[in-house]
Amino acid sequence: MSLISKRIFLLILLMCVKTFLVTGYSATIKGNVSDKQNSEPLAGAIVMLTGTTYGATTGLDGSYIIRNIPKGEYDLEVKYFSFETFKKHISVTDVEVIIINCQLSQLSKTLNEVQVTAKYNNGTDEQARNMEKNSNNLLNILSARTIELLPDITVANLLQRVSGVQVERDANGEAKYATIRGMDKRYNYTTVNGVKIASPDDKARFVPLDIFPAEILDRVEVIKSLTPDMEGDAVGGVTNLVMKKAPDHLVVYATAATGYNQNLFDEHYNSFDKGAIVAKDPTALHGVKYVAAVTDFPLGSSVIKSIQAPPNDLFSLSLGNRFLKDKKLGVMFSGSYQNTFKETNNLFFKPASQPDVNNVPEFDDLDLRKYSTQETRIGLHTNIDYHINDKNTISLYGLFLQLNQLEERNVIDTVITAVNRPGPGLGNVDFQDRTTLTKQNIQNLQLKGEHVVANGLKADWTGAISKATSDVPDRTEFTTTNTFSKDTSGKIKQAGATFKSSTKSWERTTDQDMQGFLNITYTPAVLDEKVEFKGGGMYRSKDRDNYYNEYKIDPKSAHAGVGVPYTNVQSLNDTTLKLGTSPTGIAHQNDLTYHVHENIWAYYVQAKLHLLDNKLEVLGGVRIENTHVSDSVELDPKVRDAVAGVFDYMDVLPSLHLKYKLSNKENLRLSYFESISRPGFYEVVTHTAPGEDFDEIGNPHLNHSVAQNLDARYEWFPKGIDQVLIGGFYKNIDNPIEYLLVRPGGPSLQQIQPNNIPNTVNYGSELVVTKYFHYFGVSANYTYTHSSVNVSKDLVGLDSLKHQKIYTVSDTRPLQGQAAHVGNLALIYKNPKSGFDAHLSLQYTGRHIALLSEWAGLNYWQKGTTFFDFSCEKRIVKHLFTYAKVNNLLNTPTIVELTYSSARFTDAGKPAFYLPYQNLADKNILVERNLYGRNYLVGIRYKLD
Amino acid sequence: MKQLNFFILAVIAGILLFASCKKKNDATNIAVKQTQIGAFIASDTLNGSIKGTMKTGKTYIMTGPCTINFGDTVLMQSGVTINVVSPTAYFLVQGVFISLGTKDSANWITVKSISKQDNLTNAQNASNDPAFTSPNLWLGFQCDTCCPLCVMKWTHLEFAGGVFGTTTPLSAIKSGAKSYCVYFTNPSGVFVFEDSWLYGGVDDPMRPNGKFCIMRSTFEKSGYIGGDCLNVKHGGVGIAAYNLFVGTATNGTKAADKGTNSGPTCQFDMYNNTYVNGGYRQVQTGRGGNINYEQGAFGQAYNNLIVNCKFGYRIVGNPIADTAHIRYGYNYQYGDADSIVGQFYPVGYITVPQSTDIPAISYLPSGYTLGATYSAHSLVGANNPMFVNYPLPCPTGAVINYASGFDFHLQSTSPAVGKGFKGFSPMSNQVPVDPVFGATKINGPGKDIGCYQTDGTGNQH
Repeated sequence: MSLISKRIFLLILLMCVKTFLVTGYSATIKGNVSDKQNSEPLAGAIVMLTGTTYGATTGLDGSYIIRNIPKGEYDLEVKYFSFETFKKHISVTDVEVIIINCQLSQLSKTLNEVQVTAKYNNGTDEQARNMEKNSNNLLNILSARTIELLPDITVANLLQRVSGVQVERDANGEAKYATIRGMDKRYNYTTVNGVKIASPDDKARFVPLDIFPAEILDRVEVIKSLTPDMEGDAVGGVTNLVMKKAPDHLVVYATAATGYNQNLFDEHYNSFDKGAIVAKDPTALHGVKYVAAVTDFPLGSSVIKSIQAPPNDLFSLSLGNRFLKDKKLGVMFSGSYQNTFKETNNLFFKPASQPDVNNVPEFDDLDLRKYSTQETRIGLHTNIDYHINDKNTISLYGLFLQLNQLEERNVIDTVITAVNRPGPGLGNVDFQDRTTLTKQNIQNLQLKGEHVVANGLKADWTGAISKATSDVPDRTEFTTTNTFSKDTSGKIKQAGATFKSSTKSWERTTDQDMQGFLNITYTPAVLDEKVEFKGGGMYRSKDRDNYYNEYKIDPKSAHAGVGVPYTNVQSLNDTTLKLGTSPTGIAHQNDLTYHVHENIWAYYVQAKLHLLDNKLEVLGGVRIENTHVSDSVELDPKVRDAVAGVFDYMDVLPSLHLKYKLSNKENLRLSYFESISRPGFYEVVTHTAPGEDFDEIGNPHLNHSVAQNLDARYEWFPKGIDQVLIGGFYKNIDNPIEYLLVRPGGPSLQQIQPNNIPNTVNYGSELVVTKYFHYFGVSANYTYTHSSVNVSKDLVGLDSLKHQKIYTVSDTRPLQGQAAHVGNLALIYKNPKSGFDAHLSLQYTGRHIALLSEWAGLNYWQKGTTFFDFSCEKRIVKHLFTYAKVNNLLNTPTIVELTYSSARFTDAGKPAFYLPYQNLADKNILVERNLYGRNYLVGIRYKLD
Repeated sequence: MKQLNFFILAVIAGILLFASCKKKNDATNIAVKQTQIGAFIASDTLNGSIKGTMKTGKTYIMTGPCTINFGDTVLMQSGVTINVVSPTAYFLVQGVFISLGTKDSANWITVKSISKQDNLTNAQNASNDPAFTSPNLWLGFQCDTCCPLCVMKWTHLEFAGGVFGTTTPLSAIKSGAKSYCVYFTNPSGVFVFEDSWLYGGVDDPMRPNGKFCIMRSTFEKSGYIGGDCLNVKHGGVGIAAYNLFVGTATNGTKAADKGTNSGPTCQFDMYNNTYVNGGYRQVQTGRGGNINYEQGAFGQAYNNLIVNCKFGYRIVGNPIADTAHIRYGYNYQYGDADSIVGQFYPVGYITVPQSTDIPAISYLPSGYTLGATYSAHSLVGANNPMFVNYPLPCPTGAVINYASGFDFHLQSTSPAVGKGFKGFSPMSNQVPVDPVFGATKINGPGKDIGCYQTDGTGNQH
């Protein structure tokens, strides 16, 4: 950092010196260009001395400077799209500095509502700032222009740039979900153009954000306070993805890029044959009574080849225009294709189910995992709107998203304690290859109408259908046991390998819904249009189905405990293998085959008042949400609890939002709202599912969370796209839900289960500062979050007779996954004249709990991490740009630790306790480490707008 | 005077004679009536909720899961056979279960369609042994947290250990799990298994996590490719004595204070047991083969005879057993190979060699530290305990895991005779002594090492 700031300082110094030197010989003209109507600076306006080559483009703060102008007479001309041209005659007579500030007027047009909102080019930062300023809610926006510049290719990655947002990464390092203001993903929902869409995720209620390519977006809004006209199930916030809308002239964007992951330069990529995956399981092919044989399960997909991964390909195309008379018909189309390869490395120490006396940590296994992942994303979206007349508009929106992921997970699993192990890496080591093809699709169709029914009375409606599917066919775990010993010279050598077992599973998830929304707004003329009444309702009917089937293949060994000698996959066949338990599969009876139906109907009323000479805006109202959920599992209700459940609840959610205009550029906001968070469908279903580190089980007794939220924010928009936001929040949450490591299935079987924890208060503060100095900009945000959860935990102690006894002790900690400190810092350089933009960003997420232990003091904590990313763009010719992005510049690892001295575990003389990879400076125990590698991307962009 | 002396001697002799005659009368065995609780079970097939008495001499067919509800009792009189014909069958015991076999008329709970394969070419050959791999294995006794009493006397319990489907009778059992032959989950309940036989078991054959007394019984083939025969966790307090364990996959008796139920710390006394050929079917290395204490568990381990087990008796240091309260010694170990005698005090653990152990620990190198590697070639084949009928040294491939055809009684000249330590008291007051509702007899320490005593006490099989 210090190096970078030094360089910037030097650069600035150099420019000052240069300016000083130049002014010694000739004249300089400089000044500011702004909008006459609101005095906002205009960035990118062209200032020329006509008939000469002297000219400049205004910077982000509206400033310009033209140097080295010889003596003479000139006509200065300032041009800006859709503004009237400014002209002025000037005489340069001496070595001087001439200051010319000018204000441009907008071209006179009838300013109907569409044009007012289109005053700012869609997708610009200016538009984003303006919306933040004028919205009813607390809002943070990333504009399409910012998105282009950021080094992120998916929406989930983008979100980490927003104030108060931290992202949750999946095992292969892909950011997937947002934690907003310290509230886990479950407390936040995602909408597309304001409408929730179905999720293909088999576990989460909401759409994984990595499925959205960043390029089809107009902007991302993170809404942190809910008004009654919004769905009420968010405590942290709402991520609204606004897709590109039809512009009023021809717009063409196209990009083509290629890239590579650093880890793939350094190591080989593990690939497997996608064609060897069997699409349908034997039950699906032959019926539930079919008794499968080993020959039904070819092992071809477990043949792993080390290859040099091909480079990534990324393409996108957006086209938009308006047609017909008066440009009544607008059409916007965006398509995106991304094919990326990635490799991540992970190591994980699995905690033992019970620690030693005084909760001295114990570990069961060390897993060394390598993920090789290919992701192919296709995103298509079409937005068509038709202005029937001034009073009626209808629009049709269609979205199709597809994510195909081919993942190979290679695991080296060493049992590390309680076994007579001669040392690390010795004894029996399991090698496992897991091959997974995940095919996710989302289809969404929205039909919207906006109508002016009468004077002051408006109505808008939306009907939407949405379907998401996820298909994971023939997911295969293939495990061999390998024995390692030391030879006489002390070298570790492999003594032998045997095939241990293979598990194959098929899972399909379908999530579909139909929903309708109606809003009516009435602004009575009699009240001087100072009061706006709004009311409406919505209904959603959703169905989620999950199908699961599993088979196990065991060695047909001659001697128990000794697997089949293993050389390669091809050498195994039905003479050496046999089918494990349930050769008929378990599709007809298992707790992962389930159906969930959910109905939500909600209605609200709200009123917005303008008081105190329009300085105070008050928005208040109430929303009522009714939830009906029913679920059933494919199990015999006579022998298993909770195979079916019905959950009905109604929530009354009042809210009040105050906005006080301290000045034209300053707002003070205060808002109170109540909101809820519903448990996931998967969570309330009684189930057992294989997870990444532990099995996961459901909890039909989960209650939904209810929260009271209080927010205050001071906003200052000094000029242009500069802003300062200072805020605080306070949330009181009843029945928060967290994932605990539990042992309902016996003393050694650890499983993860969602559970309600006692009432918790979450509060914090936020600061956002964006400031531009001509071509330079600095954008920073910081969020502090605090919560204190008190759930009693277990402690292994000694009783008065010094016998081991398990005590319950009180344990205080923050909410799971919540980092106290989250911050972003971006240094931006934008030179509209040369067409060069650069963006260096730093993203910091403080330490937070990664895994909740049932034992006091043994939570796994992820250390604070700082990621650096860089991107830049340069115009080549008029509409053509090249760009480059580097993600994770310093290849920052994520480290998970146990705050316990590693001294006991690093004594090489005590192999029974010895843990490898312990290198933390603070001498805590390293329990997990992820290395994602740098990602490089270079491309070209064509932009006509 | 001489006459008087003679008279007195004669009287004393007469009294002695009388007394000895009276002693002979003590052996008289007067028939007792069969115990009956409730009505006789009318049906010959067992399925669903059952209660009452199974009549002596009868064979019952168990066709599916059976539940003994809380407050109900099921009693097997002597000479009753239960033939389990369904792999989904189990006893869910929420009430009381009592099986009163006798020496002359034992009870059987078995799967008749499976025949024992005791003479497979490779003695430890497990994957072809139906005791482990038959599709007809049933699901055993699952004693719920409310079960007050489960008693088995002179009872053959066989061929349990099958795999649960997606539904299981106890919340503590995961779907798809391998069943334990007996899973006792009530820390304040009582479990008695005496003079009985357990054959087979795939995972841990027994988890008696209550007050238990496991006496004078025979355990064969316990565990398929892993599993500890008597695996006691937190909440389990009791005794295992005078038992014969042959060919357990891992340990015969294991104690670990793991788990968080309301029960007491795991306390397990293991004495006068005989362990033969333990530990050879455990896939993971170093898991033990006979006696094991770990993770906060304690108890007493004396007078045990350990023959050709893969590892010696094991006190685990990580996670550490309650070493402050474990007492052990007078344990007799025999091994046919360097790899066995080199693990009498298993490498990597913290078993403290006891001066009372046999062989005497003088073979350990000076400066021996706990868990260190040592070699003791001179012990190979030394101190043969001299079983009545079991070849030692063991011929290659004859590491058997069954008892039939052999006799593990000690010959009178065995070096294990008379070496037992009687100076300790096993825990008491855990299990009531009662001919029906408790243990018939709880034997204290024996004078000979192992489960068979040359005076005829101990194991009666």
